[in-house]
Amino acid sequence: MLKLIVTRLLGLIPLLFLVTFLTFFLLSVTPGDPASTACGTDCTQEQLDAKRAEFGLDKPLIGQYVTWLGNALQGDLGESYFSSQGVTDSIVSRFGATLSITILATIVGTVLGVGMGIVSAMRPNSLVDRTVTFIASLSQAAPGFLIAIYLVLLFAIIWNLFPATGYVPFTESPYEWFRHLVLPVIALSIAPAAGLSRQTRASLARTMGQDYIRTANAKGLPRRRVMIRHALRNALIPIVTVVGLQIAGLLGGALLVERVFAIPGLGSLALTAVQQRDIPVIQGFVLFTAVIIVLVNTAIDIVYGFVNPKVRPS
Amino acid sequence: MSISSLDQPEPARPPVGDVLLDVEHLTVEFTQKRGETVFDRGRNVIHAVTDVSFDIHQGETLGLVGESGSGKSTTGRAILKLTPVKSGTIRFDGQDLTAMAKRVPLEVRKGIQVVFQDPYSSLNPSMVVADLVGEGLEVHFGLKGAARDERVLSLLESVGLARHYMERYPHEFSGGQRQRIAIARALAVQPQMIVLDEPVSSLDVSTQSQVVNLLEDLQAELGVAYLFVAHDLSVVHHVSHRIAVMYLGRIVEIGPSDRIWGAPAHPYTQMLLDSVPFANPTAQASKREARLAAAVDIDLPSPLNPPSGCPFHTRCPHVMDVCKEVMPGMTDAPGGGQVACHLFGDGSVAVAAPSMRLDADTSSSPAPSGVDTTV
Amino acid sequence: MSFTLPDGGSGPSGGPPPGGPPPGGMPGGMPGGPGGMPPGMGGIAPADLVASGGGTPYQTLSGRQRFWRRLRSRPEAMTAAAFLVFLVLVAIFAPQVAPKDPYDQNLRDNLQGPSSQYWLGTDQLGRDVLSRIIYGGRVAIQSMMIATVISAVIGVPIGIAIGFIGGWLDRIVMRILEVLYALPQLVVLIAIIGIMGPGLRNAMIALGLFMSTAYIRLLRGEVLAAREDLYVDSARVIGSPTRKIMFKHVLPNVLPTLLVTMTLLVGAVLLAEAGLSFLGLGAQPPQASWGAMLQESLTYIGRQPFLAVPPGIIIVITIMAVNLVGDAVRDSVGRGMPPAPPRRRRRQAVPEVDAEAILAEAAKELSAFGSARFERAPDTALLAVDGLSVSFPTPQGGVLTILQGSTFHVMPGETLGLVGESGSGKSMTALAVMGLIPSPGQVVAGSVKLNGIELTELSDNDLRKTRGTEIGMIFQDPMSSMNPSMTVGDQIGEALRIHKGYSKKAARERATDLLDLVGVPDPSRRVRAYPHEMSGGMAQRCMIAMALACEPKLLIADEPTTALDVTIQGQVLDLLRRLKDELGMSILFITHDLGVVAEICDRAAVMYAGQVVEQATVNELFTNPQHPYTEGLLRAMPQNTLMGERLRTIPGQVPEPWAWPTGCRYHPRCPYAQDACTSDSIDMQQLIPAHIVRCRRAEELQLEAAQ
Repeated sequence: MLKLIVTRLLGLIPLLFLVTFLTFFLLSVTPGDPASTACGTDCTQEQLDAKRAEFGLDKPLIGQYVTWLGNALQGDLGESYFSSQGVTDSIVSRFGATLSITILATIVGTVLGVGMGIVSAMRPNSLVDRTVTFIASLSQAAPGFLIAIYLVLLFAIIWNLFPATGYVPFTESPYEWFRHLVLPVIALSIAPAAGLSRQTRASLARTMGQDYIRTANAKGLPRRRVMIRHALRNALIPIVTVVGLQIAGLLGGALLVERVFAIPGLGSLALTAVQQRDIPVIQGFVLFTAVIIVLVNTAIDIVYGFVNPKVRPS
Repeated sequence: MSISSLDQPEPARPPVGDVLLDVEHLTVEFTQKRGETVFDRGRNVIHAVTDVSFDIHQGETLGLVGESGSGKSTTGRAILKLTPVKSGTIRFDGQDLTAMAKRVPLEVRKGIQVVFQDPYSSLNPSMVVADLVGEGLEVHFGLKGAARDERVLSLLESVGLARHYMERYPHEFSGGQRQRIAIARALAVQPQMIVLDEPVSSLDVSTQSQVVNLLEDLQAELGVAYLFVAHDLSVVHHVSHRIAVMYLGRIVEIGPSDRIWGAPAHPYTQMLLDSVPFANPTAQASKREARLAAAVDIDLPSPLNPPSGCPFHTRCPHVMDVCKEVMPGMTDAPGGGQVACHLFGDGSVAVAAPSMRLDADTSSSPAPSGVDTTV
Repeated sequence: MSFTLPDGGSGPSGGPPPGGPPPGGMPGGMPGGPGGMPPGMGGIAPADLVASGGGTPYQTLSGRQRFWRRLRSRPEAMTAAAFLVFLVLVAIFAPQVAPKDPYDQNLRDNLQGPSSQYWLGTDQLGRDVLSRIIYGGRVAIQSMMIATVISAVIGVPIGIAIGFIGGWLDRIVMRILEVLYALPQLVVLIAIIGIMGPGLRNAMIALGLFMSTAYIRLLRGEVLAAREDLYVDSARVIGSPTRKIMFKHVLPNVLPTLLVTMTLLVGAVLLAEAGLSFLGLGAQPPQASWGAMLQESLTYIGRQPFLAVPPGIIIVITIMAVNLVGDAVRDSVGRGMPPAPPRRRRRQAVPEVDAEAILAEAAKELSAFGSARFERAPDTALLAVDGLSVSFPTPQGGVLTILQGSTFHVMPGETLGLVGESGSGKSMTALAVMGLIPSPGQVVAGSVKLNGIELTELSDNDLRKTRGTEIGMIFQDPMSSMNPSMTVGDQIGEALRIHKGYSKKAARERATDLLDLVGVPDPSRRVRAYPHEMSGGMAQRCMIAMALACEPKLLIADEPTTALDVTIQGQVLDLLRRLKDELGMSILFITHDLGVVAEICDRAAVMYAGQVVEQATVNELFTNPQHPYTEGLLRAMPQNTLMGERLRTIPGQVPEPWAWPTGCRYHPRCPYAQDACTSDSIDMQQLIPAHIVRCRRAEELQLEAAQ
């Protein structure tokens, strides 16, 4: 088991290698010189050369990549061209906020989505089902940041129940941390909840048509037991994979929601970097998210193996 | 009764001519990915077909019988070049198919056609009958427009379909009718041989016999050879000149259809015959007794992991020590044909296995000659 | 970011099933024979029955006509489409339509609410919001076009090529895609825009590039799947060149999915444009874009909350409209299939409205049906089914009676065979006895008595308790009939725990004993195994153990050996015979195979087109068949034909339930039919003891016996 996980993780190394390689080269070959941007408008040739040397841009491309990779392996993702803060440091310092939002939104979205899906599948075409379906299609058309804006409008500006902006780390004040996260998490979790509810409903409906449900009925099992032991269990197996895919989407969505609530997370870091073409930060950001997503997917794979006996090692 | 109609005069059949298809030592293996998850990333090797040799003459029907995992369909697909061959040769009309690249020359394609088991998935759902049947006419004879349609009409007629079906889609037909379309499609290119892969297995009894008759009529008329792949021995016996019995990727017995049906040599063939239920309660009762007497209540082994020696030894009522280690070679079977079993051939232990069939035979007709002279 | 790319048909909302089962699974596709028949319902998916029942099953329409007809049948989608057309027109004629210049600043009037002068108020620079929304539509449509065209132009050819060529090209492309999919989509977009620089056009090119991966994945998958399709194999054998196979066989069947993906991607583009502009990576000020307007509104949300409302609403409505149209397209495309079953809501609506009345009407008619010209079941019968009829309402408001006046009985310790071809109603009979007829079907007439207790009058709960304790049932496909995520032991023990109150441990022990009883080797280990770890024969033994757990008096076996190999079939039949004797139970054995009937049954009832046509002991039935259909079936068996002789056939086809003939349902195929057979309905009659037949000429006909 452990060995399998390790082999799986080792198999990811080429993937991460490719990710970094692609971003590095694509960024390098694009027009625009970060050195001259950083140097400013009235910059002499000497100053420019100095900047280039400082950024390591005077070395050949492969050399730059190897150096960067070597440092990255030791946890050093280089330095921002502009803020002279270490990329690793700035990512780590901002990761907390993004992580908090993403994890909470995953939990809320999954519980809400699966719950609504089950309820609507239990009573197809009931009022509940139609309401859930309507909400689902509505929120599929409403991007998270839009919901976020309206939440701010209602709960922060009109009713003044929650703060409109900002973030307080959990370690500082759990209560304030929670208050600041309520709106962002709701905004972020509605879309995945909608998607999950539709998928859960569809999966459950499909499962209810399976032969083994007929067998369970032929055994004279009570309806509740047929639903829970036989239908739900099997219906949720594919949902595990869906949740895994949602997490990647949530991480992306968090960046947008952060923007609405002015939360100092990875999103604002990345956006600023893109606008300034701060290449080390972009690279660090991409690598970091890739690692996170890959770890999440591996975890999902393992969970999948446990819920689905067909792929469990016997 | 008809089970042992050996004493009947051999009925009129198309003359059986020269060797058309010659398969020698055919071996096909598949590697199968076990899974995509963390837990299961290895590969399995499925020994689908192992060292299979047989031939088919012009205008002949060879029945290929076996249960699931016997490799009978894979053999058919290998002949059609739909499956890569690991080793062995397949010669058709003098040409070595195994030596050919993936792109098979048109004239070879013209020679062998196919009818698959599932008439639902073997006809392109988005094409009308005229295009389905006409495809071969376009490819091989360059027929187009009215000329093509005229030919399609006569083909439809020859398989018993009305002309107004030309513009219909496959989903508008029943299983039996679809199978007729598939047959017309195969006949369009005027092949010398058709691989029939379980052509009637998915049809109802009443439809099944219609299609079998059609196939026999077409053979009598056109002299086309059939490789008739099926699991139902009673149908195969009815249509075939010769029958080859496959078990776990190997041919264990091959011989004249009536001999196999009336006096099976290989214990597996025997078991297969005893298992075919007859629509006659009296006959079936005695068959059951034969079956129970020889019953070895064991499951089919998996082709992933075939037993050593003779593949049938795990279920064979006559198993000997040698069977577990040595794969028996093909030897002449009493009454014609060949059998791969240690009970036969040089130095084999003479067990009265082959005559068992006669003891258990439900028929009251005289024993086929040649059988009781065994070994 | 919350937009998602449609995942190539693999999701539940994906396209039509590629190469799917017999289209619509309509009764026409009660897929032929025994082999391919879905178990249990005998291939009669009730909903489909209902959908295509009544009237002519197929209209001859071209695919395109069908598509539009289906699309038009959905008013919400038509409304959405009309809205989108309106939006496009407004965007095209924006200069004429917009009340003001969208860039015209008027700082004195900034941040106003809606008024007669500014219908939707003004923004921070005093620009007219309505005009900016209208011009924003141009941005949205422009983005949509750029991204959609780029993604399709890049993605479609690559997808098809790598799907068909495969090999190293495929591996390289897929590896790159894997990298892209390892990252959140927004991160990928940020990286690409980071490379190219912000701006609407760049953002849309980036988006198009990224979305092309959706096409690549989708088409590659579809093409790979299509390559495995039998009809592609068959085209290869015909000798069609690869190019031709691609365009004539593969592409037309992939097209519907492609179309669906395209419409779904349009929604995703709109969402992405709004998101990227909101982040400042798309449209740049002062360009009017809905996303950018939202972003600006955020800054002033404290001073003029209304500013956020118009762009948000237009985004939601537009995307909803696109999604609705996409859904409708997805449900409407089909590959030359029969008219799609009506949408669920409509399908449900019919039974809700008048199903009860229709079925009640049918029941009245049917209860008058059938007279007592034959002996009824003896009182000692374990199961007595009398005049059982099952009907399904059709969408046209009619009723389809797929089981009519079924009458038979099973004595204690007896095995009764229920024989018939596909669509004869034999499986429906079994489900009716079990009280498991799929909704909206109903038992409309007749009685089912088990040990003298009328099952059709039991409450749902009592009937449920009868199942599993008094009646056990096994099915055709043992593998799919077992819960894949539960151990075999738990599934066997489940009924004991529910019905008999066994403890977990006791149930497990009993399950082990039962596995031993049904001849599963190594039962104490197998009890912990999952179904997928078993072979078909073993799985069927486990199913038998499951059905027998509470020692029922009656076992209903629905084609239990049809999916098994013939040597394994023998083993399972022997096992059933032994268990029947040991446990003293009765078996209702459903099969299409007369050989199996001869092997295991004491008596048999032959079914044709929803009716029992003959019933007698097996010996009597085979030696003295009285119904021409029974004779035809017996004669059609290959083993009853001399070598070299033509097989004798029954002419014609088994009719579909909506096309059952009047009079004797067999008369169009019957060699002995007379005029009288075509009109009057035929009752059961009994000429000699214990032999019942539904044929008006039974007395005079001398039919051929089994050989």
